[in-house]
Amino acid sequence: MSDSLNVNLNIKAEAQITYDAIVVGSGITGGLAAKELCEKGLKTLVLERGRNVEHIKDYTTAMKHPWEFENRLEITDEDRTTNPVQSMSYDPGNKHFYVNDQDHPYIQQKPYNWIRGYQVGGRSLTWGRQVYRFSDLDFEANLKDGHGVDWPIRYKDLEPWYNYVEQFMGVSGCADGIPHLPHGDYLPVMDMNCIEKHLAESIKKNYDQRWLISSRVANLTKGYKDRGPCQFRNLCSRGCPYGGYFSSNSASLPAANATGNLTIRPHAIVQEIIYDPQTKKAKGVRIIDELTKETMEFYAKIIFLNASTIATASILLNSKSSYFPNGFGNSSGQVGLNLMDHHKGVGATGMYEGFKDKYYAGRRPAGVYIPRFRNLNEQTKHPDFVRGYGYQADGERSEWPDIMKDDDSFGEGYKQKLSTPGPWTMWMGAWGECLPNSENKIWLDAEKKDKWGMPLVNVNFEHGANDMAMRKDAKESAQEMLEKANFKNIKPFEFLFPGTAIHEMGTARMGRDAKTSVLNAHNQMNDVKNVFITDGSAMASSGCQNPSLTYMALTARACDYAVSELKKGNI
Amino acid sequence: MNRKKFIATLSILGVGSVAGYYGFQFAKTKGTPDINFLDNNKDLLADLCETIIPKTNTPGAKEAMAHEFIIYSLKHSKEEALVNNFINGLKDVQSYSLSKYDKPFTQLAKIEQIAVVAHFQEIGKNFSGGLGKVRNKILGKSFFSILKEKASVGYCTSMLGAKQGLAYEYVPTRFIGCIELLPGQKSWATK
Repeated sequence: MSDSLNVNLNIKAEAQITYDAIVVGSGITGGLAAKELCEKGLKTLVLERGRNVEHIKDYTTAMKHPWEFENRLEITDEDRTTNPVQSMSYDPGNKHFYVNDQDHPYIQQKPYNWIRGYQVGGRSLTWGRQVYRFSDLDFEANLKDGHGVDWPIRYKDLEPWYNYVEQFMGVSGCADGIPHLPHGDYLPVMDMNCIEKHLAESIKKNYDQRWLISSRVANLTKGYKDRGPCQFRNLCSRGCPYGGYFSSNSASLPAANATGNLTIRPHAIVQEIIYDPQTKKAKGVRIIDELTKETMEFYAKIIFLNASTIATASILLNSKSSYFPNGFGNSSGQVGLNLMDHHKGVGATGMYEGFKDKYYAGRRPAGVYIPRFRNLNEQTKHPDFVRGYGYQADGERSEWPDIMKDDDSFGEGYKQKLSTPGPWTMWMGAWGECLPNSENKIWLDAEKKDKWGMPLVNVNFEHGANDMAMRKDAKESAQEMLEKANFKNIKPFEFLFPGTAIHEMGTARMGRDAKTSVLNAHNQMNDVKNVFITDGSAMASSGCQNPSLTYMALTARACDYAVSELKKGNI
Repeated sequence: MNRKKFIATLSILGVGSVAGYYGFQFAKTKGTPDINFLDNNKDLLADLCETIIPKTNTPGAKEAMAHEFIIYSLKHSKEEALVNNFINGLKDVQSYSLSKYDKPFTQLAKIEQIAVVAHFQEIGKNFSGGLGKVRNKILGKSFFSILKEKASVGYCTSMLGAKQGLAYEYVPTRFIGCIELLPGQKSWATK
């Protein structure tokens, strides 16, 4: 991020309170919304509740060796005690991009890990970077099996926007030709290693309509728009000094800033959206300064809410008035409901006895992917559940972290084993679709507040019978695929910690009917036409694909629509 | 020992005696750990690490300062049983060396040090299988398991261990999915 972005921090924001657009949140969708709106000529204020993180300069651990961390790359018991939720996801290399659980409490009605990163760039710094498009298999799912409400859009509506955002991000992948996992125009694909190729061939031989492909990932396999290329260090979540992967910090915010239209206001906790009953539009937002706890107001013609699923719904629910007694734009009563999150942590591992003379070089920040193969059509219908799951998988040779656990010797022989590549192994874990269910929801606590006086969020979430049936199948299918490919020592695994997919979505859903949805087909609030929501909360169903790419395509599309409506004088 | 055998053993020994043994061992895992013992016995710890991962044509765990990682890690651990087991284990190594060889561990010949560590490995193994799981749950990991695991992490993530004991590429710049593994080629230090 250039120095000029710093010029637009704070100082200007204090001086100026009226903008063309306000974007709440600077993560993967907020950053993109800022870029789109700025490029369309709107003076745009981005409100970020956390600190500033400047590209490269603030990636303080990015170039550290393992031995430069006191506890190496292991979290401490203190982490586990003081940050029981966030420490499930962080390590000493990226811990500073996660919130502190003590400062940011919430109420788990049932166990749910709400993993967050409050800083400029949000979780786009630490995201998994895997990007898979939805298809009509996903967009038609609610209509066909009756769960949730019908998506108001279809693949053809989003396809040009998938192309658009992928071109901006830079995605490495392959034109795999899979009907229900449409591809784009990608940068060179990352290699598979020999065990992954072996499994891919076995799957092709043994199954119809089942594929194993290289991950499609927002890492740059060649230099792209002054960013990258990826250096294959596999340390992405510390922030990349080479700009080797897409984040708000590396790409969207610098592009927004280059227009001269961007102002970022860090430490700005949005308290509520202000409604103007005269115009029936949102007038602006009220914030609490994170550091001074002072409140102030900013005004704009349009507002984009991109605070992340649970936070966006919380802001709406906290913005109560006589016009919206149940929360801003919540005449449908749907705000906060239908929280979805992929279930993961189920699959199998196996060992392979061959390829002893093969190895790999470099650390690939990705793996391989087995797209959904259940319930694609009549032929692939599963009797026990609707929808499906995909596997993320990874093949590698056993190295010291595995060998030290499996071996019972010590001394010279042990040292020799530690330093020699062990057998090839394969790990396959499912990420499964979660059905929309109004019982899975968030709401604001009537009494408990955080240190800024904001009501605590209650989260009530549980995976349902369909999700659980899917997990059983995912565990069995992983073992079966490994068996057919002659893997040995196959071990199933299953652990479920809701929330740890960090794919929460659905709390302000899009739909065709304002009585049952919060947003229309353009991510525009049904009740308040100058407010747009394009983070995960807009999702009407979850698919089983990593969802950020879809949020981004929705964001770019909504920005285009919003500015066009603004210019027409409709909002 | 499988689960059935374990239950059979329980009935032969009588639940009382097993519970009594565990009760005694359990008491040793409790209480504030004697954490200063670690800093005061660095040489002992370093030599134990070296016995696990000795110097060959590449540096060993002692030179790689694996013991400093262990000390840091245990000082920041809140698992009382683990820390107590480890420190009690160090003390046991001291007294065992003295009683068996009449010398402290650090003054033993390499072969004697190996014999001592092998003895503690055997003690740790005494409760393998089903009973081992119960033991681990009640008493925590054995001294030898903790020593081996932490010495290995400490060594493999140290500068000397990663760069010389293993193969470390700081900035690989490329990924090649399939290369020929050459004779003697070391495994990668980081994933």
